[in-house]
Amino acid sequence: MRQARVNTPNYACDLSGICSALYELGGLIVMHDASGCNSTFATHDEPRWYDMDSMVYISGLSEYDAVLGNDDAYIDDVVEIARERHPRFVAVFGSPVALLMGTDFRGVAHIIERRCGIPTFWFRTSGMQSYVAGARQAFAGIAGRLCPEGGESAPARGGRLRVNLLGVTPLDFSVVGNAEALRDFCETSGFELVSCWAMGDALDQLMRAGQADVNIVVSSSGLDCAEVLARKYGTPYVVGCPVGSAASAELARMVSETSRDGVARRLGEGDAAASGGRKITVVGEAVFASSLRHCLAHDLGEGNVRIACPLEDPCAMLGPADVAVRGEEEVASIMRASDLVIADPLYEVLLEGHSHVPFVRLPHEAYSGRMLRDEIPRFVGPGFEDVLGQAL
Amino acid sequence: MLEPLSAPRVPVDLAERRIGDVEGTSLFPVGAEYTPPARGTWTIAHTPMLVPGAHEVYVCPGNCLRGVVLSAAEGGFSDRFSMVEVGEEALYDGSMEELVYEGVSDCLDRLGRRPPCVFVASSCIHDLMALDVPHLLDELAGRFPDIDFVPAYMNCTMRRSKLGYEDVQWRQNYAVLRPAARDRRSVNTIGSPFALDPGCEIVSMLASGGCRLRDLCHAETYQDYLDMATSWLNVYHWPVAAEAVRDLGERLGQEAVYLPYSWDGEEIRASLQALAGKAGLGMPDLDALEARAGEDLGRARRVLGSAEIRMDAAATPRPFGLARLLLEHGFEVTEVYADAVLPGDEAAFDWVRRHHPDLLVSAMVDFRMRLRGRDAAGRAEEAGRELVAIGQKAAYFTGTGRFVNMISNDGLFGFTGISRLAGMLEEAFRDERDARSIIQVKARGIEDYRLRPRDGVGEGRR
Repeated sequence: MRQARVNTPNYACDLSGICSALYELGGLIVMHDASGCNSTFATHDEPRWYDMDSMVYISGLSEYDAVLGNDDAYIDDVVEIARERHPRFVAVFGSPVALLMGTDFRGVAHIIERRCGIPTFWFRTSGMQSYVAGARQAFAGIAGRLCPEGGESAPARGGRLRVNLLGVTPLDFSVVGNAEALRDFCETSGFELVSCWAMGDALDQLMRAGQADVNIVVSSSGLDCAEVLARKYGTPYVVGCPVGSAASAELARMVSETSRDGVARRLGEGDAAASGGRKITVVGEAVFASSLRHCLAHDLGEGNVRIACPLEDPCAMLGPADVAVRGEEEVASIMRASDLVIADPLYEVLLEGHSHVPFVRLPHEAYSGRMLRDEIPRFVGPGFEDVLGQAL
Repeated sequence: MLEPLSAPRVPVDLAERRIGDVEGTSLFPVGAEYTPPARGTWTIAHTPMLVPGAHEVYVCPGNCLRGVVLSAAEGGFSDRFSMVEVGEEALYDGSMEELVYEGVSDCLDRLGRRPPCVFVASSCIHDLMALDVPHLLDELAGRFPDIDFVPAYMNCTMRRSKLGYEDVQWRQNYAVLRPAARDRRSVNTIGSPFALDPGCEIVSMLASGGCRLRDLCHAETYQDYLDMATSWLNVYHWPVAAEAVRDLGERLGQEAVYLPYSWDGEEIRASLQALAGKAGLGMPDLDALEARAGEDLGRARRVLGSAEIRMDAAATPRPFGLARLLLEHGFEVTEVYADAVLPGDEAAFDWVRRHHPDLLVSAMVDFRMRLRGRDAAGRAEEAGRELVAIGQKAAYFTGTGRFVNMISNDGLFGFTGISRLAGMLEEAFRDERDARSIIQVKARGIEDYRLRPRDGVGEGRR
């Protein structure tokens, strides 16, 4: 049974994806749940929780209110906080219990917005989808509702290409310098960074996203936002993460090309696994894994790389030889049939009894959470291929 | 003579109040909550790990699972933890029963060993769906007759119910115990993840009377755990354990006596007298122990000087009782972090209100706590004094590294417990620590238990 897991954990879920995406934007985020969802997010999925204040709360749903389907207390509490703290926006969504209760979040958001006059978002969550599903909605919601129609036409400094980085959260990039390295990538590539969605930039900065010439979708979480911005401003996008030297150079080239022809591009579209050489399996999020494959192929000469992706792949990064894996046993069988595996260390247990398969530890915050954060490398930008090469 | 603090502080927001302004014992309204990053308290994923050899299977939506499965990974008991991920379709298509039955079976089949006991944890949604979990576990017991199946309930919506989910988990922790021949020389202590302090009066009284104290925290084997059924008497120390004791009384006929984690001399004496009367035990020299506790507190007071003390309700179920004790011994207690006054602490709360009306009471989970400054220790230092916290949350909210890392009373009891606390205060004052790295670790102390499956406990029920 694919739902049964004996050895490995699951990925961060949709509620965490939303909270992570909106964390730095000055909004009021209130999950409709009793307790556990917020605790999971704050403890395992959010490395900024200790030091960076953000209004992320839980409604404290009680057994009686759950049974009776009473949403009044939730609405009243959110309105009270909003009136006292004046957030830039409000976001409401719920846990599995709220789903079962049939909470009408659209209606809840409407009432809250009417009562306190603050833009209020609602999101579809169940606590049973991945963080990608949550973050996609959150970024797209902000872009759709809060970015002004028509954009602004401030001139680029020195005629440089202007870009937004879309899909930047600690769940994919942690807090070990990768978000900063993405900014460095823009700088060294000669791009002017308009906004980073959403680490290091406030909401006002994000609202200037319409000024960009090209959007760079650096994780699956950013795709829907890119599509909203494309509809709103006609901005084309490129999908890929600058992992290592070759991917950085190629991504920069693609951005320039897309700025000229307006065609969406994906890093590594031609990087299907070659048949020769050792068979490497990368387990992870699709955009990162594809970008890592590009690094392996072009920086390190490892062309036979297959991706096992346990998450959705909205950007269509997976090639014909890649596998959208569902369940622990399927991941295990793919890993065991490989000559080398690159994955979060919590997958390594699946290779027990298969010690002949080398394992390269590459923790992913959305998987192992805080417990292996110290091991997460700065994988963005030139130089990572050296680190990876040594591990191989 | 040590100088008192210069002036009473004024509440900074609606989640902080002068205790003198509080009417009754209702402190703060219930509403949207913040969760501070102090994680040392045990959760319902950790508590079953006290049962030697037990395995946990959580059947929940992914978001619920993630917290517990990573708790297991961080706590070093991943190999005693499995999970079945509930998808949305199971809510609607009538497949939930099959998912639970087949999922748990699959986990056990793939486990590679046969645990003696399996806690099968369902979640809020199962309760709302009225899933008949006990029936499913009966079915599982038919398939795995050598395993004791125990339902567990990760139902967070019960948090504010008459019976909270922690109370229920403690009850379930002893659910396997079956009626057994009664041993008049065997006594259990029930319902704490921290072993009763071996130096405390209860332990010495029972030892002097030739009685054996059985504590789940000390159980080495599954048989040790099962043998708790032979005890004739259960002692317990805080309200969370009351449901477990009630259930054991009803099912096994075990008697009970409540010996609360109290900081009040009279109550400690009364409790110990009750134990002595119930079990026919002799009394220790309580006058001497109380005098020593007073001396120890006096010494700690001299060491701490005018240091400000703040404490939280996760450190002890009687924070106002502790505040009273320290205030009576001249300590500069200025604030108690508590969302509510817990049963048994009302009288101490009232005493503090009458005698120290300027003392502040602060919420712990109110939404305002997210945005309140956490630099009290720095401000105290600028004013030339130190700030010592009792409890992880108090340490976090004040930003101090001088703190007593106490959770749920830490097994401290009686006058000896007061003496121990005095020593812990001195230690906290002298040794500043990195609170950030300490308080974020879940289930403080779980690393001290032998958590891995051991020889002889993986072969089914004995």
